[in-house]
Amino acid sequence: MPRQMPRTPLRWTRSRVRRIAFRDGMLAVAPLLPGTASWGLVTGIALVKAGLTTGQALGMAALVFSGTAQLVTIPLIVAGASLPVIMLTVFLTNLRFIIYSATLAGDLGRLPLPLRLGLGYLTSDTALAAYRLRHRDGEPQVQRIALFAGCCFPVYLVWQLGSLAGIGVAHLLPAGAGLGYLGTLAIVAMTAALVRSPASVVAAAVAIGVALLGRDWPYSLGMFSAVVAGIAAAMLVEARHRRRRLAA
Amino acid sequence: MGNHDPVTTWSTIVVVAMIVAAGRWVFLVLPREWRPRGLLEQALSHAPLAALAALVAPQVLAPLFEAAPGAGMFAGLADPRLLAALAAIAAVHWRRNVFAGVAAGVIVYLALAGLG
Repeated sequence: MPRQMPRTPLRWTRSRVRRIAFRDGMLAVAPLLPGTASWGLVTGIALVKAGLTTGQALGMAALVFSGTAQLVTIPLIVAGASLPVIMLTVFLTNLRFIIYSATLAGDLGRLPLPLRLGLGYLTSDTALAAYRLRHRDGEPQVQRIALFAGCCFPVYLVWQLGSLAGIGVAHLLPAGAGLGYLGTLAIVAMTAALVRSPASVVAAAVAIGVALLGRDWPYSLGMFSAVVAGIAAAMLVEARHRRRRLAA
Repeated sequence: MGNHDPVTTWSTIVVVAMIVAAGRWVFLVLPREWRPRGLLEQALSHAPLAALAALVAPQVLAPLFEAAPGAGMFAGLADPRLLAALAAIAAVHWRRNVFAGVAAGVIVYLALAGLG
């Protein structure tokens, strides 16, 4: 018995490829979602304990959608830091998104602008890690985009749910608890995970030293000097390594 | 702590969201040939670690500078905030996992400082 062919075989195939790739993306990112949920939970607690209302905390999770940026902003809001200081701090701590956008440009570069911006907005460390694990070179663009979208959407959704749970938990906990510090602990863990090479050890050590030295300087100058000094020190270490490798 | 001026808080949230989104969009919008290379790329790759370390170090090490007069700097070493941070760092490097670090830090902090 001859099977009936679909009316538009090409489109039928494309949409099917898209569906399968989207599901592949969701499967690839699934093991990482408990991490996203607990991260959102800690962030939600820290946001409410810093004095944000439920609406503000939810709005921040939905609009900013970045644990680092949200956690970095909280102590600055509490301390009454000026907007330029907050902007510069968020910019510096989230420069990795610029690096991500450069690596994604090849994959998303030719999409229509709204789709590019939409998927770009949903970029997260977790989604990108899952995408890189599952991605194969030479896949057609339809497949790549659907795979990436499949990695991105669950992370966004679970981030919102985790934040919501954290906001709920925070309201149940006694007021005035030192739980705002949980956010700081989350950043400490994230920072420690970035220390992987000799150059990064030097970057962290120099940045910490200068930050302590300048902790009373006005306009967060201490922090910014620390960032510049940390970057410079790491680059010096890398330059020395390169020279040694050339000499050897 | 307590509540902050809603207009200020909301505008801060929106501005932070715009900065993060702009970062995510930069090279999806700009030509690929403008991608950072060489020294600039290197500097960019080290910036997040340097910035995060510079940001948290004064918060984490604050107990060392708050120690009661005469108690000496090392009295601050027993502070829950500092011990929890050390536990977080140790767990991250032991388990090679950020969330293990967060969990260890939170457990040590709650055990030592309690909920109150």
